[in-house]
Amino acid sequence: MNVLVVEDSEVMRGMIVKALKNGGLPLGDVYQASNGVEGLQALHDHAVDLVFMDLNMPVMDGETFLRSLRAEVATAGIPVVVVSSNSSSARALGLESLRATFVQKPFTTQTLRAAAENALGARQ
Amino acid sequence: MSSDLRAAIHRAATVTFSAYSRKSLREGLPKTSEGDPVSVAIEFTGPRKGRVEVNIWEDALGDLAASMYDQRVPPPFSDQLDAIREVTNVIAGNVVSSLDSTSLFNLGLPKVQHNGPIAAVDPSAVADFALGSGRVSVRLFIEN
Repeated sequence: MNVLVVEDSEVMRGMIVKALKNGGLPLGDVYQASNGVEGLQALHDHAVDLVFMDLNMPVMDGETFLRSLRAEVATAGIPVVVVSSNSSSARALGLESLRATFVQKPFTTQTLRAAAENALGARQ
Repeated sequence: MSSDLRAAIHRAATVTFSAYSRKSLREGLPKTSEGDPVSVAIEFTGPRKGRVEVNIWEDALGDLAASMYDQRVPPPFSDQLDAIREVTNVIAGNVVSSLDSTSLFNLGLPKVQHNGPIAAVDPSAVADFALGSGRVSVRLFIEN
């Protein structure tokens, strides 16, 4: 399973990847992007099975990235997990209609894994 | 100082530092650290407008960043700043979520305050901690 992590903080990208590895998910390639623009480019360049993303990012924020991802036929079906500290922003975004799962920061390995499984399961 | 505001910032800081640091978190501000803190602030808008500011003294910052990067020794200072910016972002997100759980808050991007903490205005609430051998002060400013 190839994963894309879109998050402006390098340390948080590392923590997400570490939690995914510790959580026992069958990881393939892990791609990283520091904003929505880089995230869309990574989706264009690589086959991605699951996206983890922040909302509060410079250059292109998470909402714009997620709506762009859902608007493209090639990427519209990719499961998404939003990892953010701001639950009010996630709620206002209407994650259910955008078919995304929410995880509150700070997260645990277990909550991140459960969210990934939830997102992957919702696709089927 | 409102007890609700203090509870909100205390809870957010406790949850965040407990999750991200290997060092023990104890309430109160020890006087063991000297010098100026590294100060990071993030502004928020919504039903209430204000700012969350995290001040961390160097011993605690290095230890915190090492824990977040899963290293034995503190990473370069630029990476320490990335770590404390992310911690500030997480604390701020949790604070605004507890101020009003039904309304939308927008968070700005965390910014390092190179001139140190803003001293001109009294904070609405403060949470002080000893973090390992260092210290942390988290301050919430609400605009009326």
